[in-house]
Amino acid sequence: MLLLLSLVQLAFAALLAPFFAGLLSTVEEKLESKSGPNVLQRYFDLIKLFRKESVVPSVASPFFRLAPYATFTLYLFLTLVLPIITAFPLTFGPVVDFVGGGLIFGAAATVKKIAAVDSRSNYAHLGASRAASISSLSEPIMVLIFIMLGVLSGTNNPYIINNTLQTSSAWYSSLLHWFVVGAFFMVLLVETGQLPIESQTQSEFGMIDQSMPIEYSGPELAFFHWGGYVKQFLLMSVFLNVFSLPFWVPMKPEPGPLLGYLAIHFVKMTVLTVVFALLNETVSKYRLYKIFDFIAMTFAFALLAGLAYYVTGGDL
Amino acid sequence: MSATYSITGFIIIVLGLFLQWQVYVSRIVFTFAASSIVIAVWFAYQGIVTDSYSPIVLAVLTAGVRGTLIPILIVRNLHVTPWRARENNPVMGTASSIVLSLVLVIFSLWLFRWSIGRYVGATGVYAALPFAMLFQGAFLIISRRNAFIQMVGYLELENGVLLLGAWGFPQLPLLIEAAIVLDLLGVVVVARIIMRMREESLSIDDRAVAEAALSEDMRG
Repeated sequence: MLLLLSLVQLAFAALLAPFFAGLLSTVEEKLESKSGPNVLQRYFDLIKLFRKESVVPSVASPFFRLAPYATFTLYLFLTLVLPIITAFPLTFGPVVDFVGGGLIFGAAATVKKIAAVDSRSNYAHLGASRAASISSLSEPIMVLIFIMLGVLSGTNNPYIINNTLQTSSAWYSSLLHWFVVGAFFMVLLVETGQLPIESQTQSEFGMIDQSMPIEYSGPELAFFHWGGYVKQFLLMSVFLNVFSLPFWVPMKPEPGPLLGYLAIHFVKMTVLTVVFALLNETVSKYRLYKIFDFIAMTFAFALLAGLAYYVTGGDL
Repeated sequence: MSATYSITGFIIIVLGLFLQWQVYVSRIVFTFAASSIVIAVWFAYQGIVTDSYSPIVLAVLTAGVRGTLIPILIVRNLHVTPWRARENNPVMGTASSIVLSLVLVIFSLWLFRWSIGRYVGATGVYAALPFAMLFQGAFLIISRRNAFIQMVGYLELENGVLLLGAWGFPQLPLLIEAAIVLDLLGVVVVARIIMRMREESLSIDDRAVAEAALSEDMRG
């Protein structure tokens, strides 16, 4: 049963991830009073890329070609261990806790950066350098957020954190929890490349993640993009299911609630996608060096969570 | 009561960090106005809960004077002196000043617990939050060179005093609390007069320099 549910969760995340990436583009265009691309456009793009042949820079090592498959596999593995459609651990759930999950995200990001450097493209180097600068600060903040969640639940297991927040209104309404939600939302904007951090244009002035796969083509580029969609889906799901809206996630393996939750999760993801689209349409992009001010504020929120716990003694 | 007080305190600490984040004076003034309104809402809530009129009066004064009048005065003056609309040359970078402001919050909480906190008991620990605001306001004054932002830093510091008085000394007469609120009105008016005098004297100097240069040209 748990293995079957693991496969359902993997398929749910991997197959729906491009949909929400497409939905984000469509809603953004609709907000600009344009007709916008089809919601399924990302699927069409992936199919087109899978049919094309690959062109690899002659100077690149074999690692360059393997990297998209490696990152995609790492993201797929994460779909098996994070609470997406269930609030109880599935077959691979006990393998890693939050810190372990963060390390796998970090490993995938590192593989992407090494591959970008291996491509010998100036644009890819530029993106890798920017991404490394930003993640060197944002990833420790992520660890700090997990430590704060550890204070809340006494563990770093995302399933237990979900159960704690679902069952304890005191913890859910605590200042510690809401500071952590604020900090994680800001990290989510950084990690998923939303405004005010990164604008999805072809201008190299603001490119971060976009410029890293610039030398990829064909199926490798498809896996690179698909992996990016799955990463976005996973982080959004973690934000919804562990941090901000942990409710309704089934705590027992019963088919009825599980099927119902698939629909609920779809709605939750749609709402968060619309929030992202609204943000992308109303906020201007920061200049690159201003991103560090944003990260400093994120750090402040994560640390204030600890201070709130210290001042209120955990009563609030 | 302590729950709403600590939520108010933390909202204002976050707004204090936002003050460090911004460089445009108008945004800084609006952030300060928001923090004053938050304090006013807490006063109003306290008045309703305790069925007392003096916190309601303080709420109206705070919202009217600090939340509306002083910000309007500063923003109006900005239109007269547009070169002061943003901080061009801060003492330190924005990210470092945010982190340092946060460090000061931690230091102030430690200082409070180590000094006054020993004598006030468990519930008194919430008074540490206005202490943090005092440090944040003082740091805003020294981290910026723009006169308007320094004034907002002073106002923020006074907000800390106001909130500390409201929590630590609830029996304080309304007259004294109101004096803290209105005291700033005088400061702003005096500051505005000083600024105007300074601008006029500068413009006289400028005119003198321009006339001297013109006569030099004509002689040359």
